Amino acid sequence: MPREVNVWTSGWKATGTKVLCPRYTFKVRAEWRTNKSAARQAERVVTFPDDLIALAQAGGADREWLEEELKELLLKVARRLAKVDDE
Amino acid sequence: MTTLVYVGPTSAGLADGTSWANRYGTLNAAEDRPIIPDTIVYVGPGVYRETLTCDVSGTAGNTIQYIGDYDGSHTDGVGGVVRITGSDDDKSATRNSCITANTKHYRTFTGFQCDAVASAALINGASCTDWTIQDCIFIDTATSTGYSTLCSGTGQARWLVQRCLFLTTHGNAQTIYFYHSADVDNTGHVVSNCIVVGGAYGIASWNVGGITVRNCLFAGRCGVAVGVGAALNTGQTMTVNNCVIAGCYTGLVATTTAEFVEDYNNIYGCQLARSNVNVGAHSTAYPALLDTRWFFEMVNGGRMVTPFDLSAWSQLINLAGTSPPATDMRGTGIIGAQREWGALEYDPTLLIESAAGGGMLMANKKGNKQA
Repeated sequence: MPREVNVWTSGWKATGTKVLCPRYTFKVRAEWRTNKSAARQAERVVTFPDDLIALAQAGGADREWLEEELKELLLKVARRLAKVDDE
Repeated sequence: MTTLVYVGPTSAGLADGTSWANRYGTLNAAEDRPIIPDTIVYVGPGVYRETLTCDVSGTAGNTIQYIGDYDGSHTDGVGGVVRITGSDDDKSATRNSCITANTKHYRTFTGFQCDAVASAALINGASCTDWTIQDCIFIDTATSTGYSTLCSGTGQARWLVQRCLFLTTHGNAQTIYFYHSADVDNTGHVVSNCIVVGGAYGIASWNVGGITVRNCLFAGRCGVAVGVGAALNTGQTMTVNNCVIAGCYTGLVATTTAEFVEDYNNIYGCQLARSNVNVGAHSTAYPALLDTRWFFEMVNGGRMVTPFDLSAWSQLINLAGTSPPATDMRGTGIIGAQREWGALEYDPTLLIESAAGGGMLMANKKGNKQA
């Protein structure tokens, strides 16, 4: 395993190209408690990639959050493609 | 001449704050007298279930200081933890902050435990300048949208956070957060001699430039130890020196290499050491190898409090479990009605070393058994 991994990213840009990708869907049920201990629950069906696109189009904090999470995922993808962790 | 004001968990005497015998019973009572520049507020050991709202600014050379009197030398003569909490029952969080302010300057907070807020931040200052937060512990941030210390607003400048411990921060929360919706330059914020355990970010900047981080320890799965989340203006930087970063997901993060200067740091055991941060010429990647003697003393009959013991306020004490081991990690049998959950039985007689006298005092002398 690698001991010290550093990465640098640059050249982020929208390429304007759309591609087809498989669509997936699954059900999520969430239960939680508020800080004041009130019980909450929600259910919804999540669809990929539709719901990612919905968050991106929502803009604002939703888009910022999505960009941050996807950036982290894409860095993991780059790392795997580069076989960093195979060393 | 410096004005001295006294606060305790209950009021006494004339309740005008002029002496410990005539102390106020709440932090806000002291603030609302109203407090004036060049004042020291000595806060006695105990629990304060309120949000201190800062209404007044100090001035240069005439700060307003709140001091948690841990050793009791200015208040009750006994000493103990001075705790401000967002909780009313130590089971859930009710208030959003322990200390909050908007455009109040030259304020200093020393010696407090801040814990269990519902959202926002344990200490929350908007467009405040010349704040010092020192010798404090921030523990049990309850919410994913919360912060331990939040410094925000376009008018923010010159915060000094030093000698503080940030422990069991919510896994998705920021710990020390400098934020504004647009760029704020040359703030002169400094964070030094702090320990951060956990949290999504240890120290984070969002559009805030001119922050210096020195001699801090980040341990135990911070998502990012130090990061710049939103790009800084050209020429603005986050500077990190002399820090030890161990076992975090990511060590240092920037949006571009120009905005982050790191050198003389040790980063080890992180999934990602740096992202968009150039490697400092003198930085290293050694195992931190923290001192473990406390552990071996503990499992060999040692009697000292560890960072992992429950406090007297914990509602996890004496909860009924199922088939627990008869003794805890240090070999202690059941104390009280039930064997505590977790690895360590609550033991109010455990020892801690006194800083004032150099001897070993029982925990009930120095904070772990107080009401």
